[in-house]
Amino acid sequence: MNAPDCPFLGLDSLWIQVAGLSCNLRCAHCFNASGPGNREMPSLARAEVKSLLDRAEVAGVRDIVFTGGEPFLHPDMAEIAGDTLSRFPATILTNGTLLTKRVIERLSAAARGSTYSLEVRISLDAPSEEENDRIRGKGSFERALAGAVRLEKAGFLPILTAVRSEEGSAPETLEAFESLLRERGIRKSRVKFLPVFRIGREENRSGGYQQDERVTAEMLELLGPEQLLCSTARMATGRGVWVCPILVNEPGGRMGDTLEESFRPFPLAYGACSTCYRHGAVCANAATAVREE
Amino acid sequence: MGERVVSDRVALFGGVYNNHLALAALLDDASSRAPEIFCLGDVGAFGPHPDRSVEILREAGVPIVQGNYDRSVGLRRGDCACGYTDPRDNHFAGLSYAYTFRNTSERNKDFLATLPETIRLRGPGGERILLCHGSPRRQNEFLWESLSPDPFLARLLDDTRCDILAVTHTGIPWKRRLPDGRVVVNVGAIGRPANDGQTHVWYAVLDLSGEAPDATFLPIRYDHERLAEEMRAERIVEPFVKTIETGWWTTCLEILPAKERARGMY
Repeated sequence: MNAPDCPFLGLDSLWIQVAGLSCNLRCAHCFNASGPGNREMPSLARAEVKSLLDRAEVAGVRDIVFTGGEPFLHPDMAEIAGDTLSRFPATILTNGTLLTKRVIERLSAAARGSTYSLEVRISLDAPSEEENDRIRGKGSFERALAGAVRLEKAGFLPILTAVRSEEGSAPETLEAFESLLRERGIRKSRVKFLPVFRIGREENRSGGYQQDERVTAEMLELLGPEQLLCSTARMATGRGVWVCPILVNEPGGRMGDTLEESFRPFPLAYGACSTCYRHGAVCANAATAVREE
Repeated sequence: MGERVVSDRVALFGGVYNNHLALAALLDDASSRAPEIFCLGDVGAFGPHPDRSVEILREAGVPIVQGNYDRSVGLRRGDCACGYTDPRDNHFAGLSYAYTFRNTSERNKDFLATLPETIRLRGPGGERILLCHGSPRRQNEFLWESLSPDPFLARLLDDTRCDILAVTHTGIPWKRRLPDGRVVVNVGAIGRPANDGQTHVWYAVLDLSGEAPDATFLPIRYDHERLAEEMRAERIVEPFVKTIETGWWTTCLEILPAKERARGMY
């Protein structure tokens, strides 16, 4: 079966894997198998990130997304956020466990005076400590919530992101998350659900994708390629530029050494592409409803 | 189609959202400030009696850019295609769409279907002006101030070959002059307050008389208490009425970026 090409329509979002795949947690469902001691990808120096921002500016980028691994393992994450926010909106995807008072002070200083939004997305996978810690590791629930509370106190509005289990995006789960946040004093509770990608560590857990779970040319035509992340985003790492943040462990996902080389169509040949097709790659909760019609 | 040449003052408004009282007040105010007035779309949504707003606009002969609401109602679609990405936002969007759809006459639906997606104007100094609803590339794209960096706006202007871009759709007004002098203005909405705790609504007047183009935002005060009464009489859900009465958004909040969300009450 020939995989259809997703065209590249322009760079809206540049993802930057700022801390490589190194993480202080080892979550059971992690799609890129981040974890302690993962040296698969080198982290990026502040100057390297600045040069990426320069190139993204030429491309007319809309926003910058920092991911990992855990971005706050990078010693300069707050200052990198500041470099970014003076020019672009930014999002940091974090597990929230390293958001100490000191880090948040530095982040506040970095965000002060910017016209642009800083979104901090904190991963939490269940509204109960027991269920969350089974997936994300002992103690992660309380530490992530403490990070969210500190952000709220500093005037940020963290977004809690939960990986959607089979029943995980049910209205009751959303309500449970919202009341948990309210109990902790977070008044503007923001919660988003993410799809499960059956790759990385999750592949061992749930068995990966079947051969027929692929995006076909007919499917792509029906949806329109502009709905897919890879039509308007790229992911810069310490080892070159990848098509998207999801396929970082696929050699075929690498599109070149530089951003410019990656501005070309990409064949949707992977099982994970079918998840992206059905659910969207990034917290696009309702695009889901449209796709499932 | 030839571009219409405009004078040095152009009134621009969007997001009527069935607020026929604010619309009437706006036409009154704007006609004293600018010889030309354009609507950037979304005639329907949260407010009461959708046919009233459509008819006021038709009678006044105001050119209208088609918004996502107008397109959906006109094409008899099942939802507003507002572009929300959260089920809570979509729940309330569905309520206001169902009301608007049910209460728009067939004739007015046909009218909304015929509206153009963009209008191009030429300023007195040759400025190329593009009017659209969300963004030049998508009718329902949200251009928020805090999510629209200069290089991105420059790309939108380059791709559509214009010097001045005017949009609405988000409901909160803002403007930006790019380093090269080109201007992007989001005219806000006249249908509901700008989530600032004030009951008035906003529109913009483009000023092309100076060396560089500029936009001024002007408030419209109208009988919001009467609108709230009409909404309750139509059994429109209470959160929509509260927004009209208090100036704070109560629904469709999940789409807001951090900065815009932080400024509101909820």
